[in-house]
Order: sequence, then C-alpha cells, then structure tokens
Amino acid sequence: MSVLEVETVPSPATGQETRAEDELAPTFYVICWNDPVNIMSYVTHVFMKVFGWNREKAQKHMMEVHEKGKSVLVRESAEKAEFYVHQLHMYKLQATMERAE
Amino acid sequence: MKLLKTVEEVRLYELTAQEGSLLMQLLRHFPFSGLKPATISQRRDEQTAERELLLNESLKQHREELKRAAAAIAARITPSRRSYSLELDPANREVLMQIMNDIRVGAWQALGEPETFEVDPSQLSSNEQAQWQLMHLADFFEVGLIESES
Repeated sequence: MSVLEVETVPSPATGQETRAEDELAPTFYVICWNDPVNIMSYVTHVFMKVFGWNREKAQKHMMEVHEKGKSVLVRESAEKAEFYVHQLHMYKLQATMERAE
Repeated sequence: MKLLKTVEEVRLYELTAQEGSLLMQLLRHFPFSGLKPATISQRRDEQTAERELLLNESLKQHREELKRAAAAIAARITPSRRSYSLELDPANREVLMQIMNDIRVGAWQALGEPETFEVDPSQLSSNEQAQWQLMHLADFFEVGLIESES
C-alpha cells in the first residue's frame, strides 16, 4: 500500500451514539429571498452553479422566489447551510439560513 | 459582445471598440461601491451575530479577490484592428459574471434600491444618472455572458 492510499478502518464515528447525536443536531433551511435587481436568468445560473442542479430544478426555485417572494432551497446541517449562504451572497443573492423546527 | 467560438470550454468573444473600451473601464475601476452588510438569518441571537461576522468578513475577502480578478481580466482584453477580443475559460466567465452583477447591485443600492426600473432618467440627479448608466452597462455584459452559457 502506498502512502497515498488510505486503509479503511471502522470508525467509532459511525456508531449508534453518533447517529443519534446527528439526528438531534439542528438542521437549517437555506432560503433565497426575492429582490428587484437580480435578473431571472442570473438567479437560475447561480442555483445551477452553487447546488449543481439541472436547469429545470433551478428554474423552478427561481420562479418560486420571483412569484412567492422566497424559496426554500435545501435543508442542511448548520455547517453546510452556512457554506451555501456564503456562496449565494458571493453572487449577491439575498439568502438566509433559518433553523428548521 | 459576440461569442465567436468555443474550444474545450474556452470561449472567445469579440467586442466592438466601444464595448471593449467600456468593459476595460468597468474592470479597471472596480469596485464602484462599498459593501453593504449582509444578513445571514432573520433570527437575532449571539450565534447568528458570530455567523454574520464571518459572512461579512468572507464577503470582504471575496470582494478583494474579485478586484484582483477584474484587473487580470482587463489585461486580457486584446485590441485588434477595429475591435477587441477576450478569451475566457469557465472560471473566468464565472468571475466576470460576478463582477458585473456586483456592479449592477451596487449601483441599484446607490439609487436607493428602487422596486421598479421604469424611471425617467432625465428626472434623476447627475450622480443618479451615472449610477443608472453603470447599472445598465454592467447588465449588458452580464446578460451577454449568461446568454453565451445557455
């Protein structure tokens, strides 16, 4: 085995206690809010880039933002939700992460 | 702004003399506006405040990266006889799109974030007219890039 190959060792992190902890960990909705400035084709493009969605799914969420004022894009762990919100803000979209109750 | 050809995801655009000159000016003078603080959540608590601080710090760094990228892209706009050419790989196209949108949004914020764009420019002050033109100029290049992607 070369030094670059990684031996698969059963990790304690896959145990039942950790799964239970994961289930209790809060999750967050990533929400994109409507604004009058970002153009529809740009918003669709950003959703495709940030989430790796196909055009159809990205357009569906873009239309939801446009018509309903917001769209819940994904439900994720705090860390991932924060990452997505950062990405969306870098594209100048108004996005927030809201705790899923 | 005309897409001439695509070779292995690298796209070659032709710009008229006016377009090339305007794009260079936009890129060389970027950014045109300050950064407006971003909101990360509607909830207000200590954790949100920490997250928001990180977000705004990250956006500040990103702005600096865009500024460097803008100068680099401006240097790639090559004059030919009566026009300019610009070759962009996917990463550079993405960055240029972000720069143009940053300019648009910044100008819109400077105009007081109007809900509608049906405005008579002659009713605007000279500063507002400049912001208005900046917004539409950036829009022209942004739309050109998006259309070449689809």
